[in-house]
Amino acid sequence: MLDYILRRAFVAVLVMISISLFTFSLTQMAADPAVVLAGEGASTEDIEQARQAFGLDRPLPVQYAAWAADVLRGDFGTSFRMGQPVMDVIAARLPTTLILAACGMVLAVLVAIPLGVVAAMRPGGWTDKLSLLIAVVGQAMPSFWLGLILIRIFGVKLRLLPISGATTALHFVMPSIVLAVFVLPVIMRLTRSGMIEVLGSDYIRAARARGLGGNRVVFKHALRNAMVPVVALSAVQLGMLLGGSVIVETVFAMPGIGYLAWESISRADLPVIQAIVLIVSAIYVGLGVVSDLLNAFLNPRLRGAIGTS
Amino acid sequence: MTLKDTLLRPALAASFFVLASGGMALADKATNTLNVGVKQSLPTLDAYYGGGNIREGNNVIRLLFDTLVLRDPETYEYRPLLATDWSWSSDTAIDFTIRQGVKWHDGTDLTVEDVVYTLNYVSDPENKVLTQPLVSWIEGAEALDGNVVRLHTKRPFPPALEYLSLALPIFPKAYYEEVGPEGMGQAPVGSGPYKLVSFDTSSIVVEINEAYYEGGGKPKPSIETINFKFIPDAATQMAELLGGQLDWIAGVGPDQAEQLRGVPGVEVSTGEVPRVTYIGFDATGRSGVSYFEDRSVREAFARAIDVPEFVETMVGESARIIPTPCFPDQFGCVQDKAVSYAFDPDLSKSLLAEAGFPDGFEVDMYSFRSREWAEVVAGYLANVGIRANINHVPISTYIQKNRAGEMPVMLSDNSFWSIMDASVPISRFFKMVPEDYARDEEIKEWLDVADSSLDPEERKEYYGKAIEKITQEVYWFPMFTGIENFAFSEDFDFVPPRDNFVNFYAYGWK
Repeated sequence: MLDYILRRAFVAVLVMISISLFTFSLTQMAADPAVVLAGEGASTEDIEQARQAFGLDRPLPVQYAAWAADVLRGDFGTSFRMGQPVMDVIAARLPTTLILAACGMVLAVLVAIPLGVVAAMRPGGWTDKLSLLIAVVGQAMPSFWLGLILIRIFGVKLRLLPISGATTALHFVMPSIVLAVFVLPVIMRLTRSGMIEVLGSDYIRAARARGLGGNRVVFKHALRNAMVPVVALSAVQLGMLLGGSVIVETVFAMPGIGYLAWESISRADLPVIQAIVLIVSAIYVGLGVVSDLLNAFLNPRLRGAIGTS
Repeated sequence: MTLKDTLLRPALAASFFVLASGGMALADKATNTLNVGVKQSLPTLDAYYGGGNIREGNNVIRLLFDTLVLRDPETYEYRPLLATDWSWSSDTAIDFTIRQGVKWHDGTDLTVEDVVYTLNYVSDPENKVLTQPLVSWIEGAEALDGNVVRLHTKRPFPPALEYLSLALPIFPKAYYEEVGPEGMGQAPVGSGPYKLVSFDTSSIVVEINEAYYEGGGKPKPSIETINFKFIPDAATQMAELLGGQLDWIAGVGPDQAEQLRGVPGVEVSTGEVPRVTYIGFDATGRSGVSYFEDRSVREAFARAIDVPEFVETMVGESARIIPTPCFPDQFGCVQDKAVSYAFDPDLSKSLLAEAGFPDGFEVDMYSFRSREWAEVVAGYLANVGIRANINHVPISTYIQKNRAGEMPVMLSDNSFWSIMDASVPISRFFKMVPEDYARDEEIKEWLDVADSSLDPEERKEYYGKAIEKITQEVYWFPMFTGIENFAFSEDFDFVPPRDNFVNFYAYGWK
């Protein structure tokens, strides 16, 4: 098991180094930050001045090496746009995104897994059809649209929930629902198909033949096995929520890192973009490792398979 | 903007119907708090390091800080603010008498040293302020006897007061030396009619500065507290307005504005924005495309576009159709010198045929403001045989390509920071600068005279010559001015400003 963990960690580090290289090169290629910094109507001298002031006149490999060395020390540089340390800028916004993603994920899992299990117990029955309907509607509805519908009902009409901002727990209710609806269908459908497959397998039939009760078979034996792909998928989905809640954060005006990323991209604030991509990637890679380890824990056969590959 | 354009904007029209059927709540007149929607979160309130680059940031900075002089928003005359009096002592020096008895928000006195320090600090290239184009004309400042500050300019600079009134807030020396741009950006101490209460990632709250002096150009405000909330999404802003959590929003789309006019409790006003939308041509073949070196082709391009119809359907009737490459309110933007080109697709086709392109041609057209606008322009061009491939790019890419001379033709606009002087749009594009696609020596010489003369009549004459040639040669095809729709609570006594800077200190409740 230790060997397996070390291998996964080594691969994760390689992935992170590649990501840092890609991020750095791509952001440099996208726009000349000196032009953006100097602003509209700036003269050539203004632009050169901005280039020197922010160290953008050095060769790219030198800039990368300096940046990577700083990052290893936990220093992501200073935001071009805000003049503050990037870590401070991100630290002020990360909690909003983390809380939002966690709430959305918990809500999605709490609804999706029971719904998937219930659907799998009677495939083709009305509960299955209902769950299919929810999945189709959830997948088809754009997040901003659902957000606006919720705002209309709960914010404007009923005045029950605040519309924008992230200052109280109530502010997280509508955005969490939108995120949950976004990830719920895929978790539910995977739970359902996994459960149908497991419930039809020989060992479950054998367990039932031994006289074990329906619920016990479903929840103790079948669910555990059906959860293996669901856990992996949920980790990936959580990664998506952390990096991809740009639209929800924008619609509900929540100062999280998704919204920060979008703003930074539109103003070519390279240090912030680089830091966000790196941090979100690190979280993503970390979740991937955790999901592999969880899978290995839930299904011991995987340990050998991956560990010796 | 690209992501938002793609994902959110198409939904705005539809989203209105979801939102607008709700009623309007009472605004915050009862608590004397004005809630303002701000689309871009403001990174800093230091005007020189990013705070002043965003118009919405400028609106907040105008509450917290005072400049030496104030440009009257209606008459464009200069009125006393921190300076009570001023006069040109030479072609390159202005003497300002500094007001006595003004207090900074921390209770200390504003002195001549603060003014001298600010002007010297921002004009020193070593300090690398981000608003270089707005301060680089300043040589420095010194204190004279009797509360007088002498400002030296690097060369005769006629629009000095214009720049001082718009882009040069005065900072307290002691505080700025202590906290620097980062501290000032997050916890600003100014001398304006409002002072900061809080500033975080969601909002900026300011309250009335009770110690604000009387007798300056800014009136003592009547609204106690102003809360600027960062809400990037237009539909969410609208929901907050309809739900009564916002009292004022700006930048409302034309369709939404039309619909909001019917909602009880909400008022909608449209103001003109000092912005000129134009088509610029690569008249010297810098981009490697030679079509536009021929004046007939440039005129054919202009004659293909039905500007009145475009303005009516795409922009809004409040926008003005103009022939000049500058905003009509700008000093020196002489209207009667400009040559205009009426819509005439038949003439356009024959001009193209004369130029050797009876079947038209294919060309890359760049835009950054609105893809829809670019598509409609391309539609007009298709009618005369010109196949325009639209390259809609982010503003940063646009600036870069513009400077590199890579664009054969561009649908562009420039708001010139609302500086009401023709030097800003014309000289910034036609004086052999990287963005100059005309590279006309004669125009450059005229602009050199106009930019440095302190004689207003001479300036007008030479800007007039430049305007005449730019339009005669169709280096640019100017089309229309900008507009902005505002929606606000019916309790708020609001009239759109003429110069697009919203001075919240001047408004009150009905």
